[in-house]
Amino acid sequence: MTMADFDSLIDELSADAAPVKVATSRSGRIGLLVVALASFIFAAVKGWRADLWTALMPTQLWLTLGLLGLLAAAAGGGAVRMARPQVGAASSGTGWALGGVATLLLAALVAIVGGSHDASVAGGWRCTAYGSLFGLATFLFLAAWLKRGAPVQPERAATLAGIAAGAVGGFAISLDCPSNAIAHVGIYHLLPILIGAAAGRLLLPRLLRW
Amino acid sequence: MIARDEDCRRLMAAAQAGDKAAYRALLGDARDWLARYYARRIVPQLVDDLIQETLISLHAKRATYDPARPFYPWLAAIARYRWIDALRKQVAMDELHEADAMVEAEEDAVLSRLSLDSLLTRLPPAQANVIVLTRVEGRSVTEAARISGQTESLVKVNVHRGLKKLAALVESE
Repeated sequence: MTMADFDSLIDELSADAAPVKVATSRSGRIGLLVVALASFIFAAVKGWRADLWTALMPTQLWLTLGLLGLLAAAAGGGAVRMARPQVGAASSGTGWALGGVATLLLAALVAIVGGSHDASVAGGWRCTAYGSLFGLATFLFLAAWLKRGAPVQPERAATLAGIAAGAVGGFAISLDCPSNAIAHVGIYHLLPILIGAAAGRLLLPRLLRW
Repeated sequence: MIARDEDCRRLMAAAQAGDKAAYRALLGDARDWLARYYARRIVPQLVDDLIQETLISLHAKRATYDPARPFYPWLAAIARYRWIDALRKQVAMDELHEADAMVEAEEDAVLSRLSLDSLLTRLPPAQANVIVLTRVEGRSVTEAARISGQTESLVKVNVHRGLKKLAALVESE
C-alpha cells in the first residue's frame, strides 16, 4: 500500500464523517440501573416477600442483598465500561465482589455438610429458574450495549455481562422468595450467576467480535 | 512527529460532531502513530494492511471514544486488538504456506526483540519466544522449533496458548 493509497483511504473515511452519538459509560450505567429496577418491579408483580415492608427481614438477607447488589454493580459496570476500549482500564473489582458472594456459598455448604439445613428446601429449582428469568433483561441490555460498542476482550466482557445478569436475577428472587435458610439462599439464589456467566461466555463472544 | 494527546482529543471530538477536516487531520495523525506502533510487531509485509484495518476499525467504532478521556489509550487498545487478530490469522496462513515462510537475518531478529510490545513480556518466555519467531519474524514452525529447542508440536501449542493470553491482556498497562 502506497502513501497515496493511505491518503485515498483517509479521504474516503473523512468524507463519511457523519455526526455520531457518543456512548459514554455513564449513559450505559444509567441504562443498566433502569433495566435492573425494571427487573425488580417485574419480580414485585410476581409478589415480594411479606416481611419486606415490615423491616423484619433477617440480617442474613440484608447481607445477601448487599453482596448480590455489589456484584451486579461491579460486573455490570465492568461490562458497560468494556464496550469502550482503553489500555490501562483493566480492573479486578468483580473478582472481589465474586469473592464476597462466594462466602454465602461457603456458608451454605457448611450448613449442608453440618446437617443443620436441608439443601432441598422446597422450591429451590423454581427459585433458580425465576432468578435466571429476572436476569434476562439485564443480559439482553448488556449484550446489546456491548454489541454497539467495541469490546477488545469479548470473552471477558461477555462473562461479566452474564455474571451481572445472574446477580440481578439473584437479587430479584431474594426479594421474592420467603426462605431464610442459608442452604437454600446460598445455593439456589446464586445459581443464576453461574448460569448467566456460562450463557454469556458461551453465547456472546461470537456476536461481540468485530 | 506524533501529535499530542490533547490535540487528538480535540480533533476527535470535532470529528464526532461531523467536522470532516478535523477528522482527516486526526486520521493522518493516527496513521503515523500506527505505523510506528506496528513496526517490528508483525512481519513487515503485513504492516500496511494492519494500519488500514485499524483505521477502518477506528472509523466504525468512533462513537465509543469518550472525549473526556485520553485518546491514545483508546487507539492503543484498538491497535492491540487488531494486532492480535492479525497474529492469529497468520497461524492459518502458516499452515497453508509453511514451506514459503520468510526467514530474516539474525541481526534483524535481535532488533525485533528489542522493540516488542510490552504485552509479550507478560507471557512465559517459551510462549513469547515462539510467537516472536513465527509471527513477528515470520519464521516457519520448523525453524522456530530448531531455534527455540522446542518440538514442532510444542511450538504450535505455545503459540496458540500465548495468543490466547495476549488477547486477555489487551487492556492491561
